Amino acid sequence: MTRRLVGAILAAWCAASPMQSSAQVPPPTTAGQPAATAAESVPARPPRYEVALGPAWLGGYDLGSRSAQLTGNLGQPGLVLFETDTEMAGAFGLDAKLGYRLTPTLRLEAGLAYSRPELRTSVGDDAEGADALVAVDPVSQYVVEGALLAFALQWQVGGGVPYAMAGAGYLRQVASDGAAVDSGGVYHAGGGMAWERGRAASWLKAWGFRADLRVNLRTGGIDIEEATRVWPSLSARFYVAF
Amino acid sequence: MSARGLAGALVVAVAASAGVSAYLKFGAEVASGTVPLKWAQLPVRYFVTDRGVPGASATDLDAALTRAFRSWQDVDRATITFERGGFTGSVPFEPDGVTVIGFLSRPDLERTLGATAYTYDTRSGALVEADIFLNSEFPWSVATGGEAGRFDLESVALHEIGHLTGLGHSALGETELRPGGGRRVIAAEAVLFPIAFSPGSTAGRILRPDDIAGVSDIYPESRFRSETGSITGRVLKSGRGVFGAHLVAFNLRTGDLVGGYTLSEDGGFTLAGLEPGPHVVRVEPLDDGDVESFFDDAERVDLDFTATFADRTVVVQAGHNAGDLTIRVDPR
Repeated sequence: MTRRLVGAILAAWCAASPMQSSAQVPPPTTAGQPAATAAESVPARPPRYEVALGPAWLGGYDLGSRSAQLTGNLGQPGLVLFETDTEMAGAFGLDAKLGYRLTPTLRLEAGLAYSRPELRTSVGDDAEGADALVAVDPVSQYVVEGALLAFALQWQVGGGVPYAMAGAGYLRQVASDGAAVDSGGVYHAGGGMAWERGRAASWLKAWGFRADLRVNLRTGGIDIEEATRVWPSLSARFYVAF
Repeated sequence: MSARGLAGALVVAVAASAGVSAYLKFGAEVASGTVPLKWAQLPVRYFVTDRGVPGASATDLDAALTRAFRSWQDVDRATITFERGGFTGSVPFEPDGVTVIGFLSRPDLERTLGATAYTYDTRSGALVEADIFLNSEFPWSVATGGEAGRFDLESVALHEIGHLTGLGHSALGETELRPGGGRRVIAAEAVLFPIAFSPGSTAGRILRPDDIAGVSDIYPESRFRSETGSITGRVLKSGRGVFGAHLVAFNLRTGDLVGGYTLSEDGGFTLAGLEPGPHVVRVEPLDDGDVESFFDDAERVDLDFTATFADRTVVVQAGHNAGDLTIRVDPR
């Protein structure tokens, strides 16, 4: 249901893009250039393929609290041995994409993202006075995903073209000792801006820079309960198109 | 050739640690070293004495034992099974090769509700007999919801049958000293905790994750190893191993608490039978019961350190060992 809705929104955005753009003009031209100059820089064949690489920041999310509880003796409540509060902390990562330009306004992307967030558990309120601490385990996180991007060529701002995106992927998380692996699904939606420049070499039809903000939704993976987790992420990528 | 021992009383017990494995199991010295005591032949056939006490007739005892045996037998990932042989005129603690459970009057054991004595083959460590006595000097009850002032027969039987399977005591509980001597349980999370809940309580009728992991470790179904995981590591104090430290693994996903001990001089431990998920590991000295009720060599047990958490959240995966966890503790 959710994916259908996202698809509908993207379709509506694409339909709103001017037809001449999608038919003839390559996506974003150099900012401020006259149309004629832009037209002269148009390669014989618009770029079809795109490779992007860049850093990403993933926001953290709370996994919940639990009490280590012992069964109480007659007439007494249970004894809390200690309390815990767990989160998956925010982290920086690396993001690589391979794109295919279906039309000047639509792109399909496949991507691989790697990050190393920390699984952090705050432990405290110990019944025997053990010092509180934060127990940490760095998790290697891999996401293989696919996404559809829709560019709004008619809404350029500062030479950049806004775009919307949505996609889904496979999540794999590996604990620090490599023994524990959990997997799940990741879904995302968001938007960003792309600044593209023209030909840089005979084989290179365009290059540029993209930045986007996404909302990610996760099922499965390392967790303390069966729950869907949501977190933001911000990524910036340099890309080349050919 | 056989040897005989007394083990697993609720307050007074003699236990032997078994090598480097998880849980406290009764160990036997055989030619090849120390091996965990366990039944080689299943089902374990037992007989019930035909004598009752006020508050619990022989039929009541039989019914309570049937329920308690069934609780252990119903553990999903354990293969142990039991078979009721019927009533007998024999009494427990007679080395006759027959497992007998019943009441005995032992006024000399004024803090002992029950105990288990076993006979094992000294060549293999296989159990051949395990008698359980329940001290008729105490007031007993089989009332469904418990009875004020009386100890719950099924709860105590469940504890002793745990010993009958080969399990030693668990330290998953907190106690306080009583003015008149002995200890009183504040809370516990294992049927095999050495001190019983107060008279009137029936909380000891339910096996806890620690008990279930323990019996599954001794008598594992094939899927036990593939469906659960383990944590190994060491407890160090001033760079040296700590012997006899009590560890508990807390599963953040299920809320399960499963305990274990450092059972080697280098402070090594294994926490096994853990359900998959992230775990917090905590270590503490054995300060909630007589050390002798856990280890027969109490002098080796180090009690001089403070309760401490591991600084790593350990993610356990089914069928795998999350190894190499080092916990450094400080002297008190």
